[in-house]
Amino acid sequence: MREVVLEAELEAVHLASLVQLVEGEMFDGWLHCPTGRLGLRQGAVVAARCGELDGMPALRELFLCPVGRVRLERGVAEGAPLGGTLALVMEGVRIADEWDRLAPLVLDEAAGFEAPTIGPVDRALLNGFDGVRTTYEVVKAAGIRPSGVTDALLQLMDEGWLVEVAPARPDEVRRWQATVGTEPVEAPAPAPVAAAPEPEPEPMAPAPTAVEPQDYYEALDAGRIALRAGDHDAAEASFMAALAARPGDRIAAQNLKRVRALQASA
Amino acid sequence: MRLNSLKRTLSVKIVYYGPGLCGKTTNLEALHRQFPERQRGAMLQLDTETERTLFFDYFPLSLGTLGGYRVKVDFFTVPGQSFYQATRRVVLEGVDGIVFVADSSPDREDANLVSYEDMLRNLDRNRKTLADVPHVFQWNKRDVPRPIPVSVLQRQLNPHGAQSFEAVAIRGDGVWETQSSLLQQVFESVRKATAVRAQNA
Repeated sequence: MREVVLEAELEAVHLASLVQLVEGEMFDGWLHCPTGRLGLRQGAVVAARCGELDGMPALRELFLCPVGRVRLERGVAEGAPLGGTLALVMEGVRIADEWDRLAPLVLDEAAGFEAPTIGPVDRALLNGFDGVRTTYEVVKAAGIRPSGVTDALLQLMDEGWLVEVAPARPDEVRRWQATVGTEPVEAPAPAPVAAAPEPEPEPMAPAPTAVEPQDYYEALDAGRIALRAGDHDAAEASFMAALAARPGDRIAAQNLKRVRALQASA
Repeated sequence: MRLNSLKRTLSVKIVYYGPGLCGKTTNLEALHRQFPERQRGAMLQLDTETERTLFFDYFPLSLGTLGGYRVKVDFFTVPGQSFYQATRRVVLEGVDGIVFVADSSPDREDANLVSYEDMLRNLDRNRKTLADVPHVFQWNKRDVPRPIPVSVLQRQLNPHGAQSFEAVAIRGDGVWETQSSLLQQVFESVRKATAVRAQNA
């Protein structure tokens, strides 16, 4: 019988924290994630599996899933470490941050773009960038794992071959988070038609920050923006709203104190 | 502070926080050079594949043994670019001491504030406040023309009067003093924590 030693929700405990924890405990077994699993020997990550992916590509993909339940089981995992734990963790969180940055962007090809492929990015995928759909929509429609194309797409942007042509749509990150780990990667879709379809309605994510009072952060951010702009009255109002959303909060109180000191010295 | 009874180690985590290009990596590189070779581990530096900027730096420092435990200090930097939000939060987890490196260049006033506020927010999401964590400020790049006055940096970033140091990290100036002051605070905090635990045992 399998011995489960720990279960947790990724919304509450980041995968990076769990991987570092099992390293410290020199654990032998498997860490089952919503989209795959990691094999552990003496605390080191010696195997990673995510769908059809193995090794480092699988590990990168596992870090993209920010929600769902994880389970740590004793067992025997074979293989050599994929790398130092710290380096693996940092690579995982880097790719997650970069995909979160990329997913909401609306891109199009720059005029004169001739390069047919760059690593895993081929012409069929590039044709999907039509200046209307987000990167999330294009990559999803192509049935490609995001972690496999993130670096290549960012490189194309860096070199000016892919350009932002419309405001980013940050809600796409939440749409991605809602679906990752809960549905299989789709088969490649037919080549996109000229007119971009409306995005399909999808369930909104149980956002990772749902446990936090979002209005608190919004008020705090608004206050800080106003403060930087020198609008002390607006900043004061926003920090008071943050304090109302989270009574007794030290950060909101500290900011409020700061803005009132600035008002007094003006 | 992490006590690992299997590996018999006591580790503390020091994080250098600050805006992009403020000199966090330069601080760590200078520190790494200044510690004796027998005490310092290899410096791990990861860069992004696309932007050719350093993403993250780390090195461990061994400080001998205490009660049969190897005492280790882990020095980290956070990536300064705004979109590496999750990474900064992960690096801040379990932090025992923070150096906030501010850039004294006159056009970086806003970047310093944004990074400082980002740090407060990430600490908050880790259920901490700056007051909970030993910390110092470093006013770096004091050699630039018309640097932001120290009094302005103090008022904007350090109104509560934590210890602060002027530095020119690229020359190594102020680097040692900054970490030395922070480590004293951190180990005093560890001493208090272990004393309380001993009393409660």
